Amino acid sequence: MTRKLGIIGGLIAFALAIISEISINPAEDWVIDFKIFTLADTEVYFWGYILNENIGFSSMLLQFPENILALTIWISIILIGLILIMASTSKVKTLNSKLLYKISILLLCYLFILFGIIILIQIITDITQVFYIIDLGFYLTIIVLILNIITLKLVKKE
Amino acid sequence: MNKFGFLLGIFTLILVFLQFIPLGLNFGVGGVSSSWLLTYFGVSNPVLSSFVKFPLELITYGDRQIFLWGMIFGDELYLWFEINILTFIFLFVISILIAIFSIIGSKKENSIGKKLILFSLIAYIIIILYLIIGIPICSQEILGIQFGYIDIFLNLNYGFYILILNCILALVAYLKHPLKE
Repeated sequence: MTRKLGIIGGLIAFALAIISEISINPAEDWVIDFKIFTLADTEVYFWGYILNENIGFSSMLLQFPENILALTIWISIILIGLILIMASTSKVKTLNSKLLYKISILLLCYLFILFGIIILIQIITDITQVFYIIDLGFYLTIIVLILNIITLKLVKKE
Repeated sequence: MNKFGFLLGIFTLILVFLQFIPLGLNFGVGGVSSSWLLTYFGVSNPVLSSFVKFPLELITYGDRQIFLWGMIFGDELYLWFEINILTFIFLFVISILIAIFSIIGSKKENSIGKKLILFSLIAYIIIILYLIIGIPICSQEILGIQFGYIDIFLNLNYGFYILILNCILALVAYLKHPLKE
């Protein structure tokens, strides 16, 4: 049986991995922005940064070994998307699905810890700033985690 | 369906047709995602632009960028069939065959499908061997510069590593290929 929640989670993870923003109505400046958080003039995404709203940069393009952290973050979110979609299709063995969902949850936890530490360092003097810093990308990652946990519970029931 | 085989086909298509993976997609503004498709087929991209370009070149040597489909030297773009027919067959034609065979093979849950995936695995090994042995041997004729055997390992780029990952994926797809009696 196809698990729709898992597939939706996978598609959101893919969107987080490659998209910066989707214009809904350019005239009214209605935009869905996938940034995780903002620090001064830097908008942070899973794939890299945007400086001053127009210059894109990714640490993945740096030389080895400076690119390792950025690569692990990007490959993690791509893997989460792949795992959630592949494990949610029909004809997958339940045991394999369970294992894949657990791996995906672990990767999501890794991303949360990593970005959580970075955000915490920025707001250490004023914790109330957290809601001004984090953005839609962070909330979408939480949604992916929730969808992942729900799908895992559904698989366990099966 | 063999999911690993299907993924192998998709990754191969990305490597063959794209010059880079566009990251930070911005919908609503046009951009270019493959210069060779734009130059030879006029395929442009009116709705998408990107902030970051994740490179897919196999080897970067000075201002030469070597891809599966050809080479960029300075600002000029050359396809392999304009430069060297043997390289065109080994890198471009075989890659297209890998993409087609692995997508068809992934759909067929029988011995024919498994053989098609095996072809992809062997073809990937041939491409990798051609890149690390064949290109340094004929580098003067192909690229116009003399490559050393060690030089090629010092100038590998993300495309080559994706090629190796695809080769491992082909091996997994071959071993896990479902067979229906």
